[in-house]
Amino acid sequence: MARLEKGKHWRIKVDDDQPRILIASIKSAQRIVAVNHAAEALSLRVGQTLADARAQYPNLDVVEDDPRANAALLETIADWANRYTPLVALDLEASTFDKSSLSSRLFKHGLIFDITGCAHLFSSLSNPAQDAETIMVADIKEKLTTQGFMVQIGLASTVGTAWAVSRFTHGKIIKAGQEKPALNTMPIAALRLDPTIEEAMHRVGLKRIEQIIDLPRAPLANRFGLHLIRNINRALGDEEESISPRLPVPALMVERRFHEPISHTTDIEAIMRKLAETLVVTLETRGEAARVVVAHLFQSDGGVTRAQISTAKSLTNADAIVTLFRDRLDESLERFSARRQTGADGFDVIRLSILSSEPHKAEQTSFHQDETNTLNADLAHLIDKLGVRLGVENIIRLSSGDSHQPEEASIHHRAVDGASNTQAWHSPHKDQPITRPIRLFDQPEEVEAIAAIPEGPPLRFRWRHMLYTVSRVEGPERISAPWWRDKGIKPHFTRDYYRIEDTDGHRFWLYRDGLYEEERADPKWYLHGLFA
Amino acid sequence: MTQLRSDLLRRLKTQIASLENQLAPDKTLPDTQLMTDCIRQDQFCFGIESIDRAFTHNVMPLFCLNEVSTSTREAGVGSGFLLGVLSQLSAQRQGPLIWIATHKALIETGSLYGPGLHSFGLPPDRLLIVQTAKEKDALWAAEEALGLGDALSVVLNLQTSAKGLSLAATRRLHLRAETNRTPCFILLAGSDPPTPSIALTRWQIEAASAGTLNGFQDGIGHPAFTANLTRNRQGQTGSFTLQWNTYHAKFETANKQTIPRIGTSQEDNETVSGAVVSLSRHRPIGTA
Repeated sequence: MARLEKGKHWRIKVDDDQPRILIASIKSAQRIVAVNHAAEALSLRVGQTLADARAQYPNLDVVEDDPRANAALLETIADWANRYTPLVALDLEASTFDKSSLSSRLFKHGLIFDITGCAHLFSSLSNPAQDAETIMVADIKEKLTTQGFMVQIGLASTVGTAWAVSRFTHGKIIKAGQEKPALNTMPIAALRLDPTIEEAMHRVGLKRIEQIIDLPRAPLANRFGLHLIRNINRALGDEEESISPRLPVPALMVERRFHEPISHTTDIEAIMRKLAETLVVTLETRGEAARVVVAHLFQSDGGVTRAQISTAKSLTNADAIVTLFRDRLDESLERFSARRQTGADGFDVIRLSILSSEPHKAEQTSFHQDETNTLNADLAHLIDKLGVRLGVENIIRLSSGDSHQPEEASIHHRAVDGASNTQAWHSPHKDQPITRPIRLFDQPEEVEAIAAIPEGPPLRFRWRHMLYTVSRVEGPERISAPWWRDKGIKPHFTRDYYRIEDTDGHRFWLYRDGLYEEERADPKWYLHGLFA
Repeated sequence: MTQLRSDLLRRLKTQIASLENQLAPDKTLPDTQLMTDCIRQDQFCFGIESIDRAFTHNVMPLFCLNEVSTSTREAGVGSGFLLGVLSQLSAQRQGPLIWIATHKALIETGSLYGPGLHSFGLPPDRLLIVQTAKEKDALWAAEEALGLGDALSVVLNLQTSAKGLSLAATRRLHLRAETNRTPCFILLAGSDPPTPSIALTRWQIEAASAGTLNGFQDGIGHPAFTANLTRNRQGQTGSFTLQWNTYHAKFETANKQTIPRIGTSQEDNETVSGAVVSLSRHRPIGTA
């Protein structure tokens, strides 16, 4: 586990000699929440009020804290950090934004990496004696420092200890089983405590972890709550603690790292194809096929390009995967090459991961091509291709819904999910006229209508600034919401639908929302659809 | 061409068609001479003599770009005309109907409604709707969809204000439709003047009073349209009134009928409609 403390102003190159403080209002006063080295040298301390600091040093550089920007910055670092492990969690709780507690804000900016099974990838061939974990930590530290961040890293086999180590000792690596001695010398704040509990413990003179770690648990729990016991147990590894990764963990992942960053589209594509081929072979042995594939391109300067494709037909060949990504990545690569003019570097890690796959039956390919099969395959490919560029939610098929409510009788579902229509469409009787419009407005449009009698059909109405005079009417067709619908949240009125033809031959579907006097005093009229 | 020769040609075409199994097994050749040409995949005939005669070969070519345009409020009628053509086509062509529309067009003129399409005669299960935010994407999607080659048809549903529909863009669509042997239609709704296009035909559809069902005067029967063929690069232009017979899934000639108006007297109507000022659709370009 590792934890990063970030410098706040990494984008602005400023000389560090100028004392600078970061302030926020806490406990109804503007207080310092962070200081730079120069300010620290002036013995300005976190928690001091701004007025105090200003009194001492009138020409301080004061910057307002921006928790949201901090969180966004942390997210980008987390994206970048995905190159080390897919399991990256933000150690940034909601309490960061509540400005009441000072100590919790200070310690909560962090990232937690679960590097189980990842460190050995960094072991060096030239120096096998050197620990892979040490190299990895050094690599993280070096890369982040060159990007302008101040980093504190701790590595341990439990989340709790790693948290403590990263904050209270600099850059230590705690081996499994060494948690207790490591924690002993630390202040109790290293146990990730609630500020109120911390304060209570301070009051009774408990300041260091060694003072409490061997105490009987029951009285401790009685006095300071179970939270404390749980945190001790977690730090020591007696209780399991898992992190919640930001991004879904892929089922399968292949990646390639380069010593020299690559930037040519053809190179990237070739690498993608190689990676896809590796993935496909693994999937085949598992008897599975890919449904959702994600590509990560890590730039050496910290930027990450992420592209995701989900497909209608599960993918079993590398070509299909590469083709789908080509369209998707074209745009970002263009943007990237535009940036490259200004000195941006290439990509040094390319990763392909499969987020979701499904069991796949290998199909016998025969000499006699089944025509419907190829058509379906072509169509599925088209749906994928359109979905990749336009978004899968924009490629729609219709299926019939078992409802009398007009909006629910036709269901839009994503074409990538395949045909899900089990229900037949309702066929009109032979001698019936068409009772449903061919175009329906998603939002019924309100019209001003005049009816001879309040519960009768309209005589005239105004829709989109035009006046229409009704010449023929059929209806009403009364449709009311099912009785089991919750009426509390949004009242569903009974609707009286009329099929209307105006004097010019336009045919509309109008309804009155609510029964006159029974449901509403003055029911409104809506135009819901257009007939042919 | 003499009557005799054209008769001979038709008979030969029919024979070839049946030899090549282009005729569905359950179908017999239509009675009228005009209909005989319709058995070919790349042609469409309305089955209404006056319309079919407007085309050089008595049929509307399909593997090309055709355009249907209406005003926004008549979008239902315009869509109805096009859907009539498509549902008649759906019997003779396999594959999905790919309907590409911008979000804006769908908001302005309503989205396609499954139950309505079904009762109109077009199986909604064959419909694939593609929504795009930009016209550029819609054009791209249409070109991709035409590449499928086995679609019932590709319909590009835009507003008349569409900027992306240039001569070049329509020519690309036309060429793709031709090479991939897929009918391509552009459905435009709005009041802007028509954009330049190389479409083979341009239909301007206006609403017409629907027919009656079983002689029931007050009921709204089969939907009717006034179809103005304002451009026809393979024949003559003209104006036709036709109706869509839902049960037989075919177009018929519509009779002009006078419908008794309800509720309000004739003068009342006139004063009311006098108050509405709307520009004529046929105004010359540029006099908006």
